[in-house]
Amino acid sequence: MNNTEKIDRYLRGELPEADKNAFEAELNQSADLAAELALQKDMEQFLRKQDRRAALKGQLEGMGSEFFQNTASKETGRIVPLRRNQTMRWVIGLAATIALVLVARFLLFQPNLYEQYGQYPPLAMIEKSNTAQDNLAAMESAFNQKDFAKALPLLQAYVKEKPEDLQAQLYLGICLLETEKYPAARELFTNISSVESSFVDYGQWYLALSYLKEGNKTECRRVLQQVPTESEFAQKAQDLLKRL
Amino acid sequence: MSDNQDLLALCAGDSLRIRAIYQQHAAPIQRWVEANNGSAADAQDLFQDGLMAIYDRYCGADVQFNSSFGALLFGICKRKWFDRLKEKNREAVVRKVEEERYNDEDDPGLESEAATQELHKQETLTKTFALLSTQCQELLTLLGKGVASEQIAEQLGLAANAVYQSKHRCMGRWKELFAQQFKS
Repeated sequence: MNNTEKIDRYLRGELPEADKNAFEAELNQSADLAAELALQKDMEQFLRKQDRRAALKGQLEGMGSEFFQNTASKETGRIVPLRRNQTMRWVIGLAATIALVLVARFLLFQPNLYEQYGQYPPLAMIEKSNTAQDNLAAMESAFNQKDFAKALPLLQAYVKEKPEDLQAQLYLGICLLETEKYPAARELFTNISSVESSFVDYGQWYLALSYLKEGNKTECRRVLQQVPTESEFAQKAQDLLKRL
Repeated sequence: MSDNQDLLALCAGDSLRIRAIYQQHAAPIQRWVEANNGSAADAQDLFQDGLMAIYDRYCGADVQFNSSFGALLFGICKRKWFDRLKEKNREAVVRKVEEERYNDEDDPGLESEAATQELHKQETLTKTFALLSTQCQELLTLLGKGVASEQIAEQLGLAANAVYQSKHRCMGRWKELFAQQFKS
């Protein structure tokens, strides 16, 4: 039996008593063997965790770029050749034209404010529970594909099972909102915004959006005015108030 | 309290809260990296490494988390950036970073070192695992998921008693590859 096999059988509790005692005695004597044991434990743990770890990494890769933007180029005193200058002029001209068209469009047709502000991060619940993984996966993919009618009953069932999960409540609220079940959505958002948790800001923000989507500007304004300055949505709330 | 919440959010993969972590800490870290000859893209990489290092060290492990989440994250980013600059041999920059590193009272010292080390270990495990044969990778992954050995034998076309023999061979090879690549 080589070390790898011995360690593996030891970790799985498969060494006969006598061998186990001998192995433990050896372990006390040899730092190398102890290090090998530690490494094999790490490997086993790696194998158990690798899916979750890869999922988290993917998640971070997806969201990271939103938060790191290039600040203005720091190059100074560089001589720019004439041709590039002309290209730049073209680019600037084109950009100005596009901007003008966009402004004109904006003035002519006020774009749907709800569609602009009603954006939410994808649902990622899979990691949170060990029960009924298939249902969670179906729920997540339906939500992320904006098939809210399909995600709704799945989320309802989940929230019934886990009423304390505020994140799930929030997503259930979004489903209700998207399927235009306003009173039920508002009940959830109001609840979320009144329970002390990391989701308070979200509850309040989506409550405001529910009025926006329904076209009730007065109520939307009232909720937005209550958004405190330390809220994650303070800036968005101010912007939206100006445009209402 | 909120430091612990940040950690729990990271361990659970809670997108909303992880976004809040980015929102809170991205700008100062980007400023620091840019002040030390790095770009926004470098800062983004470091930030992600920092979060993964914290995940690797604390999530599912039996280690107490006593640090300030932000200070720890910043400490790991600095450490990683310092290592990367050293690789590129840009000595002048290194000296500046090094000075700051040892004068920085907010850097929770040992913890950021330990987390960086853990990240390095997990990344080396990932890299060397990928060098194993496809059959080894499949076999070990299935075992890691807790699939019964009879089922694995059937799925991979092995004799029932060969599953653990193969496991030991694959683990042995993996340990060799790891030892070659992991320098602490």
